Amino acid sequence: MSTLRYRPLDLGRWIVWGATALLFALAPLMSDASFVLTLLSQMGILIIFALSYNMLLGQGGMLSFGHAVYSGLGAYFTVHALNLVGKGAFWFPVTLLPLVGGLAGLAFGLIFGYVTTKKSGTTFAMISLGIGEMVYACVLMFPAFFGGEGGISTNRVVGEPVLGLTYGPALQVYYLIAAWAFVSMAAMFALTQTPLGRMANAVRDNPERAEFVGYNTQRVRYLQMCLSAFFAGVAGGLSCINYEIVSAENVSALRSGGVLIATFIGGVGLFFGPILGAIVFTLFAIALSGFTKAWLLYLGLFFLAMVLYAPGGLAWLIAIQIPVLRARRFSELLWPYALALAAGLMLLCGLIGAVEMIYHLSLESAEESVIALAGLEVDVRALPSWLAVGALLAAGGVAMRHASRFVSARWHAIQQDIQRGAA
Amino acid sequence: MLRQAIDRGARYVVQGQSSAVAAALIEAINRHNEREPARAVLFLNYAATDPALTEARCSFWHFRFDAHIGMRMEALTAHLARDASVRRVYLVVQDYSFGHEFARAARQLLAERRPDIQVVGEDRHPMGQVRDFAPYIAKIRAAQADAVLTGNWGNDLNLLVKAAREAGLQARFHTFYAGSPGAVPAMGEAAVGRVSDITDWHANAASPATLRAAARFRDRHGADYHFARAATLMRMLAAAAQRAGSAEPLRVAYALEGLRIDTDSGEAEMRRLDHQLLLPLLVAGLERSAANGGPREVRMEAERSGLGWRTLARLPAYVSAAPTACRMQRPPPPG
Amino acid sequence: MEFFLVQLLNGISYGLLLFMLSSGLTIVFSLMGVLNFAHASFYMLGAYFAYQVSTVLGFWAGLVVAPLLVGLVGMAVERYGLRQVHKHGHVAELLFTFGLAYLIEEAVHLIWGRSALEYRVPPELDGPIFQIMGSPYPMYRTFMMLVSVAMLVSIWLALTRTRIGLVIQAALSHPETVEALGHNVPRVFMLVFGGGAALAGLAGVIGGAAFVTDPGMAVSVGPIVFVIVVVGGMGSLAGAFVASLLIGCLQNFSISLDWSLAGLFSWFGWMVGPDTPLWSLWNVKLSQAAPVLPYLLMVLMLIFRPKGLMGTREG
Repeated sequence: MSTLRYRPLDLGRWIVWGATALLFALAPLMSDASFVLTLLSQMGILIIFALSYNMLLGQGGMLSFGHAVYSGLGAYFTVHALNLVGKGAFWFPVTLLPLVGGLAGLAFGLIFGYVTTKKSGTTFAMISLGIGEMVYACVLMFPAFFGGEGGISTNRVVGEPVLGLTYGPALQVYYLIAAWAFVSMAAMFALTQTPLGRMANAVRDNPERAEFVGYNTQRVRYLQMCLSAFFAGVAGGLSCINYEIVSAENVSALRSGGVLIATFIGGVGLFFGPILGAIVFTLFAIALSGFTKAWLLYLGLFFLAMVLYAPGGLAWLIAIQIPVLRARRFSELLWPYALALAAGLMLLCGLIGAVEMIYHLSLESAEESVIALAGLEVDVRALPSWLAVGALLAAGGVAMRHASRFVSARWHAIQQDIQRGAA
Repeated sequence: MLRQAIDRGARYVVQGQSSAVAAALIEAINRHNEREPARAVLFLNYAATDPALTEARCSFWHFRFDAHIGMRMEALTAHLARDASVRRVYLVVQDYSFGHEFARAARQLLAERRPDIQVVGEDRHPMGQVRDFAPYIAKIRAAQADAVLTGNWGNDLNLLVKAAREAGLQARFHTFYAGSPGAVPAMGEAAVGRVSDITDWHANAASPATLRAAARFRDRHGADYHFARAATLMRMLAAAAQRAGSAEPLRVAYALEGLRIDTDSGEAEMRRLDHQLLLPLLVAGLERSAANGGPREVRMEAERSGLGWRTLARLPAYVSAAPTACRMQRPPPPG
Repeated sequence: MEFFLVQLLNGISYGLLLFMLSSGLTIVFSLMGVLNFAHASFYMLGAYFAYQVSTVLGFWAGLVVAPLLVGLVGMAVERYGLRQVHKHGHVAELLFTFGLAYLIEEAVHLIWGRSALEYRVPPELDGPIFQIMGSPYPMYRTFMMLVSVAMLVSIWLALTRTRIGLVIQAALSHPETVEALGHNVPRVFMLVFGGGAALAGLAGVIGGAAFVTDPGMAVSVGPIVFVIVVVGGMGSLAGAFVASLLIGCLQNFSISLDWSLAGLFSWFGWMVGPDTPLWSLWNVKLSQAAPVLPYLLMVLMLIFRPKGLMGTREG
């Protein structure tokens, strides 16, 4: 938990934000393959989207299954604005177009948010799902505006270049996304520090008490929802500029589910969680989907494992190490962590082996029964390979059990020492 | 996806799915080829059937090897025009651009070819969301339709036909997609004598050579051979590459124009004007297979369902060759 | 008249199928406070299990075995998953079931592939059963209604008349007391969750054969079932029953009506044509908009009666 500190200059904070900006600026230099740029652009967009989602889930305690509605509709409005600019109807710099998406998102946040935020908790979740389905069906019903299932495509290179920026090359688009991502991150962080951000937390944790202090919980949720919809719309606008097409998929339940998974994996309790989640999710979606068709299954398993064992997400897993590091006790954990990692790898290998073999049998059913797994040739119709996979799974499971006991024993011992030291 | 493929050096894109994807691909490829002509990419489409792809949105870089909706509808209405028993027609389409186009084309061409046929109803339902088609069937029955034209595919088609059988509806269903993988087993007995399909190929109209290929394919993959078009595509591509003496996309594209080829159903030609393959089409009806007590010519079963296709009419390429409004921008021919 | 009767029966039978689905969800929600996002996935599993059983033992065996299997899966999920996340609250439980829905769908892809299965109505139930003024009415739909009604009656009897039902109700309001009386409350919850899953499985056996058994079936009914639970009032079984029938009939009758706003306007003498602003909105027929209506109903319900038709609590 961070505490409010009224210091004129928070050096640590400046360092963190400066490093983030530098990272955004330097990331494309990692490699000159255009594939990397594609990946980074998607990450940037998802970072904004996931952070906006976390304004609901993490800060406001509202679990939404329809957040893609706001980013998707934002994208639709951006694409129309871009096409109008292209036709010369009016002049507007492409650099600021995501604002159009943001305002559209805000407008729909005002409309739908009024209905959805009447409730909280599980009911809110179901209503958001219903609204999402409704919007998705409507998008297909009105092809005049939404372009039907084909969507609306556009060309981002329009008008006179401003400051030499045409947004033709992917690198320029990446920097546009990075700039917007950075600004949005700063703005959303600033929002968490405002009274509204604080109240949202209070409403999440204890609605009755918040009400008692004199706040209208429904209004707090509503405001939070609208602001979140604004940033989702910005993300949508950027995705429109990046892909140059907006289709029904942009508002689909799949998108909404994706951002939920990304945010949760990253961690809802800490501000930087969703950023981490966006990066991991994009890697899953783009890098892993190139290797295996079962990537959704792995993603689902990973998500479930996080819900079960690390409900605070990756960010939480990292954050809880900090006190240990401060106490200079981390070295004691290295050995248990290494063991757990080894056991986890064993389990993972067994799992991947089993999944890939079943997938091969059921889907591809091709003439070949031998598949290549991590450089090994595996015959999916032969008993030994199944035995090997089974043995890996069993051994991994047993090892994991022991390793996790080992880790938690050490962990508790250290925690107790730290607490004693603090007291 | 496209960006990834081009990054890896692909120069030909073969795709066959929704027209939405195809339209997006055409736009993306046009942009790419304009920005980087040295790494031009050719798009060979074997299933996206929105007419716009070879009309308003036509592109020099796109070739279509499948009959588009307008062409299939020409064939279907030409067939209906000969059937005097059809007087009242009902349209059922999915509520998206393909369905809308289907309904529009059906109304227009029916009015041209058989002005006496009455379109007694039209239903647009959302794609892939309706589970229960019983209310639609009740509506069709109440309208006393004797033929249903539907652009539905996948579950929307299977469920529609199943519901019709449950309710004992006698009207015949004229479809474009009953021949797609999975459709026949899913409709099952419900479809016997009730469903016909406009297609470019089916197993009981195949030449012996293709039949052998289909049998080999089934033995190896345990699945039916469906996309004869894909084979036509590959054969034409090979012929064009040979004619051009190069695998350079620009040269191959020029060589593909006007290329003629023999298919199992007759001769086909790639029209230079809009890069649309003009191909012969068949009207096929679903029957029990010969082994299952059906007519003798239904030798091949569709996906071991006990049912197979029987040719009801053959329509040569000129029947369905719709005029085009395409005005494509052509890059300068190679030297 | 004939048309009206047929549509009414269609609406009721579809509504009853929806009730089979929503009843399990409602029971689990009202007794455990868990909103099971994966409920529709259990429906799908029911259909797939039934298909698998029916290829060996026939339809009737599938009807009995598949729901039991789904119930076992449900119990395992409760025991090894839900119980672990229970301490993190209801949102965590919802997230868990959300992930589970993903996982089940992918597992179905993995095992049975992506296309629809040939799971059909058995020959005994195939064909018409009676005529309504000349139009035959299918036997299977009648069977569907019978099963649903039988289920409703037996749930009600089980909850109010049997010992285990009383223990369940008591465990809901006073878990400590029930625990003190020597009942194993976690086991009761496990049974409840398994039971809810089994009900969804039963609906899957029936619905899979009537409509289609494919990996998309969970996603396609899921949202509707949630709408029913919201409209009926969270956790109210009677509300779910009324809402299911309401939505079933609403969808059926709206499909039969080709009304549009443009038609309404011209009735008042206002001419709207393709040049009028927002023409595509005015021109949408009611039959086209049918699938959106349940969601609209939900929105209206939330604005005017937030606790639902028969809900007792808000929130």
